[in-house]
Amino acid sequence: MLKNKPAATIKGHQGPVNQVNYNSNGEYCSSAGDDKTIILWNPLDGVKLKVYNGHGQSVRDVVSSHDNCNLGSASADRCAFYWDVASGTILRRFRGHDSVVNCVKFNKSSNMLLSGGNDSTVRIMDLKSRSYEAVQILDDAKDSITSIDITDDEITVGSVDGRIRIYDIRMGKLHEDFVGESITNVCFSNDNQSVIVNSTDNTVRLIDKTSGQLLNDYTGHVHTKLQLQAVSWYDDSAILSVCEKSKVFIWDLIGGEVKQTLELPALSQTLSVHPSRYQLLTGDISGQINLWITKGEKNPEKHEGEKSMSMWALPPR
Amino acid sequence: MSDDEDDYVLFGSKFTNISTQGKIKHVQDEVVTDEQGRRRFHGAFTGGFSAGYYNSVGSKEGFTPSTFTSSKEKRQTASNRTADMYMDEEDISAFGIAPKNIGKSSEYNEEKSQSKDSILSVMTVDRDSKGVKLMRAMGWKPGFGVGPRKQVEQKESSKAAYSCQPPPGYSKEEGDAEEEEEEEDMYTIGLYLAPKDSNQYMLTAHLTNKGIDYIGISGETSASSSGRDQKVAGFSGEAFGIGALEDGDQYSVYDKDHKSNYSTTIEEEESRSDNFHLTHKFKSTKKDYLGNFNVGKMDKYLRKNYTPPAIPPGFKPFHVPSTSSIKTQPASNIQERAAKLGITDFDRPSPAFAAVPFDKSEEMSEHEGIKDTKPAQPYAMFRPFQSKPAKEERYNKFLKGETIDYFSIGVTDWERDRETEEFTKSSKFFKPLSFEMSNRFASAGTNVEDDKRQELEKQAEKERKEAVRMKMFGQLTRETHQWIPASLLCRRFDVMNPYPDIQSVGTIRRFSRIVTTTSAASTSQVKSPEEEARSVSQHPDNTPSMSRDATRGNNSVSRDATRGNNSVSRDATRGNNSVSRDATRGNNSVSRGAPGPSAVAEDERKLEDRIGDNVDLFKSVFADSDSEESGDEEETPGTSEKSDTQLQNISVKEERDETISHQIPVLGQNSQSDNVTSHGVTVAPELVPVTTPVTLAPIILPMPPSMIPSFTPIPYLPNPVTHPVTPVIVPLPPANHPILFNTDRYQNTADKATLSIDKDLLERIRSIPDQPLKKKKSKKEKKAKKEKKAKKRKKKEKKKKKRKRESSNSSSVDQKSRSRSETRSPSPSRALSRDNRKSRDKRRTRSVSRDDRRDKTRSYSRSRSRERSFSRSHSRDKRTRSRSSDRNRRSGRSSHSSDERRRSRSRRKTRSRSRSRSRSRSRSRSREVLRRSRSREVYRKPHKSRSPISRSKKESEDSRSPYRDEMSLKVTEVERSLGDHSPTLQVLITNQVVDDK
Repeated sequence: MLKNKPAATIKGHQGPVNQVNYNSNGEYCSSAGDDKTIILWNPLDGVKLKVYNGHGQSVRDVVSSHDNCNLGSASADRCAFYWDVASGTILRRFRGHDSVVNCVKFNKSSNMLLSGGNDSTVRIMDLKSRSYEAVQILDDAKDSITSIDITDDEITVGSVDGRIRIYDIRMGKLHEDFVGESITNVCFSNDNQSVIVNSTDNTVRLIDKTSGQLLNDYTGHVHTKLQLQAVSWYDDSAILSVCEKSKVFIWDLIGGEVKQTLELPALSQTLSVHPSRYQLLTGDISGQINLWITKGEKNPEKHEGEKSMSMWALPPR
Repeated sequence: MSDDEDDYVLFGSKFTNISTQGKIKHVQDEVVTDEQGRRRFHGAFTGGFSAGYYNSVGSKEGFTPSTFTSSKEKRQTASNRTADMYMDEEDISAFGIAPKNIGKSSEYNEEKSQSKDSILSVMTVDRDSKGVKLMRAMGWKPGFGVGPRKQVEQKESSKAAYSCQPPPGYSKEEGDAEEEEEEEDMYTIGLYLAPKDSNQYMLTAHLTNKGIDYIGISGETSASSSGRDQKVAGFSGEAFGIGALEDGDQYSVYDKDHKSNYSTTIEEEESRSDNFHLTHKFKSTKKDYLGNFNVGKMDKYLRKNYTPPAIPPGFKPFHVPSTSSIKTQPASNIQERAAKLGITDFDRPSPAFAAVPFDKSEEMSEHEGIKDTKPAQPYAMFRPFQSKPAKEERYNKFLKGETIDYFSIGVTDWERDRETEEFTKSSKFFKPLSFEMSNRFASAGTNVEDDKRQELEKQAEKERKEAVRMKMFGQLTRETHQWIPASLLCRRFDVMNPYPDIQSVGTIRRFSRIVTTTSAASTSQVKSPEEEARSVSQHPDNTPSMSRDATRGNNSVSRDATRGNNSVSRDATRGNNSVSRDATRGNNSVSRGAPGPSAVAEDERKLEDRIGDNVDLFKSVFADSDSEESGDEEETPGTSEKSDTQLQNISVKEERDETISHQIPVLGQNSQSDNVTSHGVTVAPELVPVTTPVTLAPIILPMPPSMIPSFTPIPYLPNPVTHPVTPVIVPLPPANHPILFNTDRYQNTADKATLSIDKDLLERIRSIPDQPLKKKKSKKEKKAKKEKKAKKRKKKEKKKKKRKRESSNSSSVDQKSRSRSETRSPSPSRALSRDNRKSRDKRRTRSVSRDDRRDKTRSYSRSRSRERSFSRSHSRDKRTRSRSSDRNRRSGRSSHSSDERRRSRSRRKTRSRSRSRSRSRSRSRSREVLRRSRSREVYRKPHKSRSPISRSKKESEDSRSPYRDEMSLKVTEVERSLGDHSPTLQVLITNQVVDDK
């Protein structure tokens, strides 16, 4: 059970927070804001580690590479950027999309960046070579791509056309699963066996990736128009989703009943779970990032202000 | 003296005695100080001019350059120091070298003017405008901006973000101001303050002919406004040096500003007014006695006005359409409308397809004397379900988009869905070429096919939505397509490229394929025949000579396509024996969906015995299973070696509504049979063009665009004249391609072509000599074949006996499989479960056979190992067969009594249901153990995972292996033949069914 009040509130963005994401070890988090910036935080004490400026329009998504050395970001300026975390420089600017880029994702070895946009394509970029051409463009979707998730050898793509597409690289197959309503978020469960699909028919579904069968569905929240996220805990014990009534719903994964609801201070579209703890971050439209921890835990101390990057041991390159 | 003294008036006090003042300082001891008493000058050893500790830079310890910062911890940032920072107050003061603050406040100004003119002071004119007054009344104060008060937020300093500092002196004031602001901000954070005032931006009209913002040098502008001496001070404006014609002496360029140029007193002095360097306001007051009134100088800001254009006489400001010009008579039909609009060729398809116009195809049918079909409806040209009037009626309804009342017929949901799928496919297949081609282009208008297709898609969508509503996810909502990843993608994901030989990438959609083009050769090593090849084959008796060939071809092809495990490929070289067998089968549909091991077929037959005659799908399949086995017997190891001739099955469509299946031998890639090139039709895997004299009617050649390197439109030929045809490129995958090991993959990449060939051609094709292929079969091989046959026959007899013995056991297997096939769906129909059962049985046997194969044939793309597997294939068959029978026996033993079976079934049911129910980990684990022990499935390994999901889906991991494709092979459905005189029609409808767990 999480505490009903946020353990920490981090202010820093001028506008809505479009995306907040833990990095791979859960030590830091990066947030993408409507104010064209990406901010790297220590979510526990609220220290702003670095601000990444460079996008021309609101940043839609930010994701940390698996070695935490790089960031990938998607922006409404039709670009996907590849950042160096420590220096804050943009290593690559991918300008292939014809429209707003909604989501980015690194593959497991972080040498490819996948970006999906409103031009209904997913562009797979190679980060190792110097080429700016997409290695492959997945253009099967009929409508905007809202989210991507990647396992070792699979790519799942959620689209507004109401289908999730699972590209099985190893088998050379594309599975198109019809869900009906626009899909706002799709992600693999942590055991990589099923897909959590959040669609605008007020339902979060758990779909078996191999057969496409519905394992469970989770309802109770309101989700009709916004691009809301749904994720599962690191141990797949529960499914979490934000709600258009500025709440977080937590369902039991197997039972499907609502375990807890958290009242958010403001409407949030994004949430991120810690990779190894019951810890949750939500980024809301007022620009705040809220940290939620379990009831037993002590609230972290809060430090205001910035610290220089050198004070924070970043992983070696 | 005293008088004298009295005479004087003394002012002031006397000097005191100097000596009482103390020691008189020498000149060298005197120290010049500034107003504050600080020492002004220093000696050379004490720091020089203006140095020192208290009034200069440095510290008590000595001079430390403030610019120095250790590079160890903090990098030095470029200093923003300017000359101002080194200046004393004196320098900045009115008499300094850089006088800064001189001027008067507006209050002083007002006071001054008021005190001067007493009358005016009485008649004070309020200089504030009405707006200012109003704003004041509302609480506004001068110096503040307009707007509601806002909380001061902490600003992030964006300095760190700059990659490089601006050069020193660059935007210095701005920076200072910011700093100050920041300082202020530090104390005001959180307070509610009025917004800052912003400067009014004044627009000035551009009146000169010079560039925007360019201020040329002029006498007026040059420094006169600043109040300095015009001759001395530098001039303003932009120019490129002093022109040659200008008198350089006029302006002393190098002259410095001098203090004496400025007034030292703050008072109004008419004579010195020119020299005043004062604010604009102060200056303005001197003008005249009116004091606060200024002479307007607004002429500079006046806009240039242009008179509007003169309205022509007789202009009416509204539009009156002349009604007489166009007679609004609605066009009764399209033709009329087109004529009116001047379109003459409106009904023609887009120019790219002018070769195959719609109406020409109609002519064609008329020419052949066929008028019963409706040419306007492309779908009506074929009647795939002619044998079943009821079904055909439903199909027609489906084509018209009408709802079919399945409820009254009393079919199950599954059957309904299957039929709908079938209809959808059939309707997709039977489309004219023009549609297929125009599919690749965007059409400007609408055509019937598009609408139809959209309708169909809409319906499919509807069905899917219904499935979603009913939470019947899985088969109904899933579509699986072939997807070719880029090789680099595979490399980066550390995954083996599933299609190493294919260059093109992307998704290959499965629909719009008609006939499977199969290659018999080398397909069978790791081939997993997961595809479902439904072939509807009808052999006309009125064309016996043709049917022989056709049947044989079809037979072998469909076998090869569907039966990969046998690793037996048949080709045209097979002896007349099998051909005649096929021929004599006559109307029997020839299709085999049974995947390989005949044990499966046996299972199926048992099943079929139980099910009875009510499902003709199975009936048709199992009716054939016997012959299939006999076919197996005929095979010899030699055939597999010979099997490198790839066969292409081309469904031949006659001008009438008949489709005759015909087979054309085709060269394989690694075939040694160069002699086959003499054949009429040669389609090699390397896209060797077809060079047969063929007369073509509308051709349906749906191929994935990625597979066609270059598309050549086939010309339309109005008369059946023998004509050298444009190459039809039918790509076949290379023989050593992994696709060939997986029929499912193969099916998608290979193309299915339906050629409409006239009888002439058929005759020609039929006369294609088999000799070159036959020659290849050596005597030895024949002998081996015979031996093999004999062996098989023996074995079969043995098996039959065995089967009889096991008949009771097999029923238990069926029970078991049924119990497993209980899905989550609320009402799984009987048919569905039956299907599942079958596919599962098949899979089981397959997996068994694969297991022992896998270690042998690790790398499935090695041609050598493939050859090995050929020779091994038969023994493997035997093995698998015996194995499966073994399993049957075992399973029969394991669940002997029906009671036990029922119990186990119920247990399974609960388990499958409890997949989504909550349950404890330990319980499920124990159950798993139980299950494992019960189900003797060889390939199921215990799967460790913490997550409940993964536990619930054990098979999924197993099925991930490329060797064990998750696709089940659905039984090839055979549409029963028509009457004797009915036209031949063959449709190989491929269908893939996702295996549900």
